[in-house]
Amino acid sequence: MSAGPYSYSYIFKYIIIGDMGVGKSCLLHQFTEKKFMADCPHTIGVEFGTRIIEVSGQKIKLQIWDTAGQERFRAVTRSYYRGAAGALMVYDITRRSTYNHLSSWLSDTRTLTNPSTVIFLIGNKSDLDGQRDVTYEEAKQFADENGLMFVEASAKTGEMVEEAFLETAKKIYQSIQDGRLDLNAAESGVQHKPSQTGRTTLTNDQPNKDSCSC
Amino acid sequence: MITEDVVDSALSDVAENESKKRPSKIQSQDRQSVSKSLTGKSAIEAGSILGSPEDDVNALNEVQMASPQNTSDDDIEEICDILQDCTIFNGVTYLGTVTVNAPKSETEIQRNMVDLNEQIVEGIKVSVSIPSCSDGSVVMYDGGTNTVMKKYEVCRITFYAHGKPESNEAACFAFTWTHGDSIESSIFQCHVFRCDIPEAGGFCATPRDRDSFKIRSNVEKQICLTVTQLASESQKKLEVKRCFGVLIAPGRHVKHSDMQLLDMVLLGSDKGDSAGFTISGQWNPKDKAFLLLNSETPREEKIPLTVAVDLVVRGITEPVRLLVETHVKVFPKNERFWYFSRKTSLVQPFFLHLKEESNCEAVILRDINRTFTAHEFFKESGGGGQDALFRLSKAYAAHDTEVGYCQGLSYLAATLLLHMPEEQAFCVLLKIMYDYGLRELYKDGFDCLYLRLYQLNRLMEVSSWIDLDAESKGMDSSDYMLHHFVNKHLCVRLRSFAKMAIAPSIRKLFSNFLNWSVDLSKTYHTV
Repeated sequence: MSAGPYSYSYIFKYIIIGDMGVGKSCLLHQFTEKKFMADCPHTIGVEFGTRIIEVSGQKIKLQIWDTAGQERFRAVTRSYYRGAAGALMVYDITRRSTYNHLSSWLSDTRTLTNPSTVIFLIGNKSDLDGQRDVTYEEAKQFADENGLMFVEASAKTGEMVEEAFLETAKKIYQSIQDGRLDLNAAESGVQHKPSQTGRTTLTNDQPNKDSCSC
Repeated sequence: MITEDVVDSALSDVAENESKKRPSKIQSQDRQSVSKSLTGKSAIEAGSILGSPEDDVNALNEVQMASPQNTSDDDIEEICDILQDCTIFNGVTYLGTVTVNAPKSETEIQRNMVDLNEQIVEGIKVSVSIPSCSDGSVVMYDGGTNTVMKKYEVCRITFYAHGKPESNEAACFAFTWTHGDSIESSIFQCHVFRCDIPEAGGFCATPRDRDSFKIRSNVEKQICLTVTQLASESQKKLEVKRCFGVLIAPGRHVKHSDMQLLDMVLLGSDKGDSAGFTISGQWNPKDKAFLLLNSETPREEKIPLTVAVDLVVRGITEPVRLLVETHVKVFPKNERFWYFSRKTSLVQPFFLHLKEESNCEAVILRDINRTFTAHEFFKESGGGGQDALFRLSKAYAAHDTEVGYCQGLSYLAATLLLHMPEEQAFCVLLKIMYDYGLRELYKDGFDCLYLRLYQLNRLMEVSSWIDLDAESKGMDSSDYMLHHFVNKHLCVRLRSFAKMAIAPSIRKLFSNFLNWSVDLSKTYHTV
């Protein structure tokens, strides 16, 4: 990251976790590129994506770590949890097993992140309602019981994808405002980058277009 | 993990033989030895002489040098999931990938290197295989298990860059790879790697060039030697009781006074009969006595180095000093040696060709269940022998598209299969066909074959000196060929040339005729 003025005030670190093939990379891709990647290559280790969004008038750079779902990478991916401000926990609504594994993902997240980390549960592939294997209600209940935010989304159609990422950011930003999240803590997952006024040229009003690779 | 370029090379240093206290009064003898590679480490061996008035013994010294790096005693497993002519780099860390919009932008690729290098502490330990030609793939292997993690076709790689020197990303490199089959659906992924060969933490074997060790300046070094007695029936086994000094000096024919005693690390241990006596010593490169070994060697040059060990050998009253000469090349401290292994075997094309479609398949299939079916190995339809024969014939046909599959080739292939595994048979078949000219006989139109048969015919007509057995008299050459050569002798021929049941003159004739048999046993061994 280059020195000098930033076009954003904060950096939030996100991780995307969940079983193999639930569509983590597609969600990331949909969010950063506004495109659905049909034959998404399976992730090895980690895929990294960024996009600048705006919450309450503040430009926030989301730094998203999309992890490999494959069990063999679990040891490696665990090292990415540290310092995540937001965790998007994904399951596939058409595959019950991916839902059943959520408790294991959740316990990893709880153990490896800090208490202020916002965990957002995403039931992906909502476009495949006909093949549904997990009801909205039970997932909602699971989310409520564990204090998670929850939506069903579709990386294919883009439905609710934006919302999931943005809601997570809002929640994190809220925590900062409330003082629940200590910016100075080493592993808060948030970096404050005071932006310089007068350097508006760098500011990106269409965050999804070019900013994703900033 | 670090591996060494294990190159077999002969080093024929002659070592002197002197006792420590008295100048050499022991008879000495020059020997040469061929170096062999040690597991996971480079080694040089130089013939050296150990002797005494009573015993004239030849000992073999092995010298190993090490400089501090990560120690890895594990053997580097053969990496062979994907067979292509390639160079494999070990000790690489995969940091991750970023989807990019501008695949050919240096700025973008650099930025991703910065991001990932900054963020990823651990990464994934991998080995990366770089193909030697553009139709291959860059293959990423799991560093622990050596299983294939991902293949990146070279034709889909659009851009490559490495981190700027002196920057935090100096150890990084990255390439962008196109994923997807159509322009609309494709995405560009920037894959970032880091190649950090740690500077500290134990010693690891230094790489070596053909005849010199590549060492780095200002890095603490260790030298390991193994003293082994060459096997000999007539000599009695010498027992090294102990070693009381390891000495080195730059140069050759150095004076004893110029030799520097090293700090002994391992005073020597006898690991059993064949393993030899191992000794190692350490030296601080900054010591001024080793100045020459600590300053960079100009390109194309090397520094001679004399290494000595002083031993007490049971049965020999005086201590014995063994000297070995070798060469070193000194590189800057931050020099990064590439630890790679190169694969150029013919075995790889075999596996590649196996996957190829061949339009000869139908013809091959027709032949395989009528080739040597009397033989146990090929008897069963759909059995292992016939399968192997099919694969071998198919791989050959794919390899040699000009000849493709020619009827009759299956006999040759089958013969080879009786003696070796199919991938080796493939190598030998290639050798026979290409290097020994048999391929010419199979070529379209069989012009060469007709010519040879004509020549043989004429020879048989005119030469009473060919001692034909009764059965063969009156046959023309092609019949003779079929009868004797294919049906009777070809199998035998490969197994044991000497045992061939035909007259020597005929054997000679065949040798000339096909001109490959003579050296075949050699070929087989070198495969």
